[in-house]
Amino acid sequence: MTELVGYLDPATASIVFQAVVGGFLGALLAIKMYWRQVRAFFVGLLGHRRGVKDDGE
Amino acid sequence: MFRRGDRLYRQINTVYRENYDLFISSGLHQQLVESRLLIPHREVDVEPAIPELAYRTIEPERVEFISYPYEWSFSQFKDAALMTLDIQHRALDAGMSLKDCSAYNVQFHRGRPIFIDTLSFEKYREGEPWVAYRQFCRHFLAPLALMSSTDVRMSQLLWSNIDGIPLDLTSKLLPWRSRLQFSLLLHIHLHARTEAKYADGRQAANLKGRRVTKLAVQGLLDSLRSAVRKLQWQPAGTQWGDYYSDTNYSETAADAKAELIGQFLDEIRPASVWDLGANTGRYSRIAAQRDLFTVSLDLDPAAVEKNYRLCREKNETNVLPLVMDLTDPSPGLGWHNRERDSFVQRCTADAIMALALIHHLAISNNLPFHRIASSLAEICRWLIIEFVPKSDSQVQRLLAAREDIFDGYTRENFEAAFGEHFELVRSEPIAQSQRVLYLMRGDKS
Repeated sequence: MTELVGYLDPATASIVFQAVVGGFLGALLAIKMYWRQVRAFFVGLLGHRRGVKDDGE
Repeated sequence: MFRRGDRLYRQINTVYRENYDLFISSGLHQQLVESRLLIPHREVDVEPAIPELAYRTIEPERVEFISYPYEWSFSQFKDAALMTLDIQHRALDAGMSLKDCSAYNVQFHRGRPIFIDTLSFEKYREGEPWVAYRQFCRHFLAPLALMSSTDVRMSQLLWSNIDGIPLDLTSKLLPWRSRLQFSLLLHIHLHARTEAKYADGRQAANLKGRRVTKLAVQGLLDSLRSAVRKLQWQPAGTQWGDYYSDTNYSETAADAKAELIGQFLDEIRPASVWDLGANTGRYSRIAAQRDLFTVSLDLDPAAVEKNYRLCREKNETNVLPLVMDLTDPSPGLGWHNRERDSFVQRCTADAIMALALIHHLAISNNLPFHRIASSLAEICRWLIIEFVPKSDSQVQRLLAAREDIFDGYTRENFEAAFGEHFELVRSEPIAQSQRVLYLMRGDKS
């Protein structure tokens, strides 16, 4: 939807608000999920390395 | 929705056809039903209420008792909120979205919150804002924030605000420190300020080209989820929360009472039970154990909260705890006072338990025996009621604070008044106390 009729009431105000904060919150979520993936990657890495070490003994 | 006989149906109109078909074909419906998040239904071949508009007719599974958000304890409300957000999250994954987030779309069924509005799902179009956001804030976030930070009784504001608590009111009532919590600052305070800015209807907003991406909606959801999760309320310290440890009821007396209640229930085998003034549901569980659906009502939000937490812990499916003041129960609300039924209108109890209650009604609230008896007779067939004499320590405590004008409060008068509306089937004294437990049968068939 690219155009909304502009007779204003609080319900439409909510949509304007959502448009404004949504972008920011979306970015926050993206960062949160990115960090989760990074963490998961490192946890996986450590697990793998521990496994390799055991084999070597 | 319409009735045929005593069965309840819902007509799906052709205008909703595309959404309903997508709801089924995307697998979202099945997923939600299997996870017990949505009330199941079956498609039926029944003549619809308005055939010219109808696409299909469905029959949803019935919920044992319809309850309303202003009757929920804090955790019931919180669970309902989190469940709604979870459903919206899953809907987005399936290409759909909830078009409304009313708290009235949630009921408690077999001990858990469940979504009952099968037709609330619409196709999600990338770029469109989530239209239900405002309603979620008013129906869920606002009441929960108020119950948590201001007073647990704030949910009563829902009596006079049928579409959720307005954000400007919430913003005014919340303590200042709520602004320090980022998600509340955003979804309540700043949200309220934005609404106020546009309230007079003269500001033209340029909404052209404002897109809300899917990621933005997901970000919004995630933020709301974290806001709700952080809200806490502990039920210690309200008046009745510590009731059982404060009485001089011996364990023997309590056990004897429980034993008698069990016997009475086994004798009458009711279809359902209402426990009035149930406190934390100790005696409700006796009925529940016998696989009887029991509504467990109490005036004190702390007691109901403890009851619900216990039920949740034990996966109790037969007990529904709710907050209710019997001297001022939920009224009929909305258009024509019929959008939300009053407590009395929803009274479908087969058996009522009124344990340790009569003295509160007759003495604290000055209700004559015959009024209590006639009202109870209107709403149940069987009555298990405990008479608490003046000599009992609980009654003495009540009389300590008021003038004793209750000469009529005697066992004889009690039996006479109730005898006019009920047949007194059994009466048994409770061991190690001066109380008497009665089993009564009403005329209402």
